[in-house]
Amino acid sequence: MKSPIGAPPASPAQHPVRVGYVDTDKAGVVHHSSYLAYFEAARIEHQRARGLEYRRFEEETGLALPVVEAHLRYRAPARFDDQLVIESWVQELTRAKVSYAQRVMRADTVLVEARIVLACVNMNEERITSIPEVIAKTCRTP
Amino acid sequence: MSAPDELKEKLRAIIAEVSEIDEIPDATPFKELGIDSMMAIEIVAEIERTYKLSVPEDELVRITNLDSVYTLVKEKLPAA
Repeated sequence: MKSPIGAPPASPAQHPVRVGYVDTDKAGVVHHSSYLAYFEAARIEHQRARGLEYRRFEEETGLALPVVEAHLRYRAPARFDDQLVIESWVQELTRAKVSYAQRVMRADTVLVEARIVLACVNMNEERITSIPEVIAKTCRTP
Repeated sequence: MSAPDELKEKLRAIIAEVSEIDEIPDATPFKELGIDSMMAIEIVAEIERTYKLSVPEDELVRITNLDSVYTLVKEKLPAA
């Protein structure tokens, strides 16, 4: 099956996650919605590693980066206490959006692949704005 | 009948390509065509690239239909 996000770069950002009991469902596997929280945490760390503290960004600019699209492909389940790594890289940056490619790895096995698209909104005016340079800069940093 | 304005037709083509909508009438609001504010920003970005001009953030709200894009771009293009 062809990957929806393509091959990762040589050294994608890596964010470790230990699966919590709260993340699992009655079937004993990680609930499909839990991965969205993993991906979000990994993106925030991706930005932090490139000099952007997201909370401060929101406070100082009045802007936010909501998810406007999420495409996930579930390939294999994860279970309570599994040690996972979330890999993240920026796939596309335009004036209006940032597209992240992300995947959940357990050792060498790909469990989930995702394409998450963020837009930028002015929270006071409740309108979409262009991606600001401070965000674009983190996206361009390998 | 007057000849079609070359600039307006080029803008219509850009908007159609970015939005993947075939018919872009002059005055129909973008919202009615299914062009949302994110897509409008992408349209502006493509117009900026094509015509090597800059549309500041506070002018994006003027972009509501093809006619408004045409007016904005005409203002920004150097006089022929």
